[in-house]
Amino acid sequence: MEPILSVEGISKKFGGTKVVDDISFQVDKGEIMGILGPNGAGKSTTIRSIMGIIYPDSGSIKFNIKNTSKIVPIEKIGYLPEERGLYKNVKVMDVLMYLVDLKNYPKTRAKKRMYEYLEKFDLKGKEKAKIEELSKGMAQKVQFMASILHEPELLILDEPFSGLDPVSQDVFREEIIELAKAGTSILLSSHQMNLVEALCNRIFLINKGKKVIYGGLNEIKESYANFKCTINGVFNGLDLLALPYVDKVEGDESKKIIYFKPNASINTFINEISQNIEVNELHIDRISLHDIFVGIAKGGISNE
Amino acid sequence: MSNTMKVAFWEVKKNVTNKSFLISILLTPIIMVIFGGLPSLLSMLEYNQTHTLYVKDEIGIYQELGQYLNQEEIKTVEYNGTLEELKSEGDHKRTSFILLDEEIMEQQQINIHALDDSRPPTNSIRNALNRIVQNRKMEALGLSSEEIKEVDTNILVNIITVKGEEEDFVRKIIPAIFAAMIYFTIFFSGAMTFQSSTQEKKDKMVEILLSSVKPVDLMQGKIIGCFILGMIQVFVWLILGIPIAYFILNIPVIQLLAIKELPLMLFYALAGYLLYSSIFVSLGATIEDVQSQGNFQGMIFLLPMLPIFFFGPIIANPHGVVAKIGSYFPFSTPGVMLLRLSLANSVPVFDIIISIIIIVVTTFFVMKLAGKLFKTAILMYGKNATPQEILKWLKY
Repeated sequence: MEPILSVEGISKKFGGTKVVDDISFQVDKGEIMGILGPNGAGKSTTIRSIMGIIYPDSGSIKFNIKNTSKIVPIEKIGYLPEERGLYKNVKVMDVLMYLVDLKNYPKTRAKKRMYEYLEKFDLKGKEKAKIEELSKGMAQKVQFMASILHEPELLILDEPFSGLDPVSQDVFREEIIELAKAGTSILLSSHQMNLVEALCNRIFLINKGKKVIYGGLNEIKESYANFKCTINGVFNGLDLLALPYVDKVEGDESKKIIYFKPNASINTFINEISQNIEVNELHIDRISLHDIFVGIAKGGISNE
Repeated sequence: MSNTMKVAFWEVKKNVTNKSFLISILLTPIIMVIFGGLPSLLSMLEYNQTHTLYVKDEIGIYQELGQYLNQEEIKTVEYNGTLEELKSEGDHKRTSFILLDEEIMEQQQINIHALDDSRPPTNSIRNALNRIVQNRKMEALGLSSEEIKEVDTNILVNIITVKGEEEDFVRKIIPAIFAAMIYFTIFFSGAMTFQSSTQEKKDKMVEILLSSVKPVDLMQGKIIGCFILGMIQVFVWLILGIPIAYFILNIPVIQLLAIKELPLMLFYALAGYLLYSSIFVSLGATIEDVQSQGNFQGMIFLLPMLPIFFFGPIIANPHGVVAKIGSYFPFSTPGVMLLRLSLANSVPVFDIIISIIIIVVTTFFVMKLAGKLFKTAILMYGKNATPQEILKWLKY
């Protein structure tokens, strides 16, 4: 796949602390790439560096977008910042047309697209309303529109789902999938794993400014997501940690969650416990991205 | 169209379609007229009333007194009763009573008995009586009534400057008003750039904008946009003001404005605007909450008010030491030079050149620094910048 955006070894210091430390990744054409990480991990700083709003201390950012001579091809990039807001005292149409105009996008076409999206987002007839008259969810939809009206080739969404109600989350998610199908490359950041899991082709997991995991979602799941087993029952004093393929055990006397080491055989495990444990309930599944994420945020799982 | 101009026109559009801007355009001159004209109008209502003066004449000068008084101001009534009798006659409005007897001549003192709370026109009465007493004295010295008329003089004073031009109040006051108006506009447009920065920060618009525009374009756009708004204001005021001045007050404003100093005055106004607005727009970017916006605003808006300190001395002597200091201190240069140009017949060329150099150089550097400050401060969220931070960003 041809990359549309290449980030190579960027670092940024604020004061004495390194907020972003030697980060490299690519966004391929037509894919949805997710930057994941807990709050304060350096996601927004990375994105602001890409947008040219702040300058990284070192490293390079390259765009592979045709027909532009600019270092940051702003006309072909759409950006939804984490800090949400729009002029309060201004009409929806006016603010959208202003922002589209700053992207040098033809106004008549933008207007047509605006009406289409207003209808799609259930905001029909709101073009003359002032932003302050809209609900928070409506205003976020308008802001989302502002980032896509000019048909960007690369769409960068910083925490697109934060503060959205479930219905709006679905609207946004569907729209993001649709845009990607239409060929838009999307880079989104989030701290909500479940949403990213459902959307992204590849992810970049970042913590404390450093790379933790980078790669395709399935590969990551395979290499990191080991099995875990939840058992409700009577354990008869069995020391599960003594089993060589068990990584750790959580829970109390009646309910335990067993995390397995890589390459553990589930069959062996079932055979061994069946004699000692009176099982009431048993689940075996792979660790979700959420567990990986929480583990990383707590400093439990290392990237090596 | 460049992004700077797009931002500028957006600022204009956003404000022109805003009712409060339109109201303030119309309201400001009305308020100024009310505050400037109403007090004198109101006092005219009171002072132009005729005062009734009851005169009990014991020395035969009633007729003469009447000659020396303006009957529209003071209506004299000859009265033969006493003050007590007059009082008992009932309610008196704007009325007083005097007794003319030999005592006036001897002691040169008279009591005016006011019959109500209004103030008797003592000046006019004193002047009239002075003349009568003077006439009596001159008669006593043996002068004839013709000779007395000869003695009576009234000198008219006109100021003619060395350069031979006659001082003309109107010729000076119109450019001065114009200069004040421009300065006023600087003030308000500057305030607008300040608010525009703070507002965009509060509305969290900055990041979206900066993903499309460079910070320096955004800042310049704001400065230009607010300048256009200011000019719209001046234009509206002139459109309304010139016909009023011409047809009602009979002042040919356009001819009076077409003086050779006008381009210079406009230059100082523009330089002053650029200087102040770049300070305002960048400091506005350091502020986030409304309360400190108010406090801060009050403080930095004292800057364009600086020339007020120089007003008195400059009016007394437009080329004195104070005037020169005011002209050379960049933050007061525009105001002081506008004042000097409108007050004096000609300002020394040396002062003009030096002050132009000072203001151009200062504005250049202030705008550069403001750009640096703006760039960093506009992206700060969550708190106001501290003075230390502002200093640090200026050094970047």
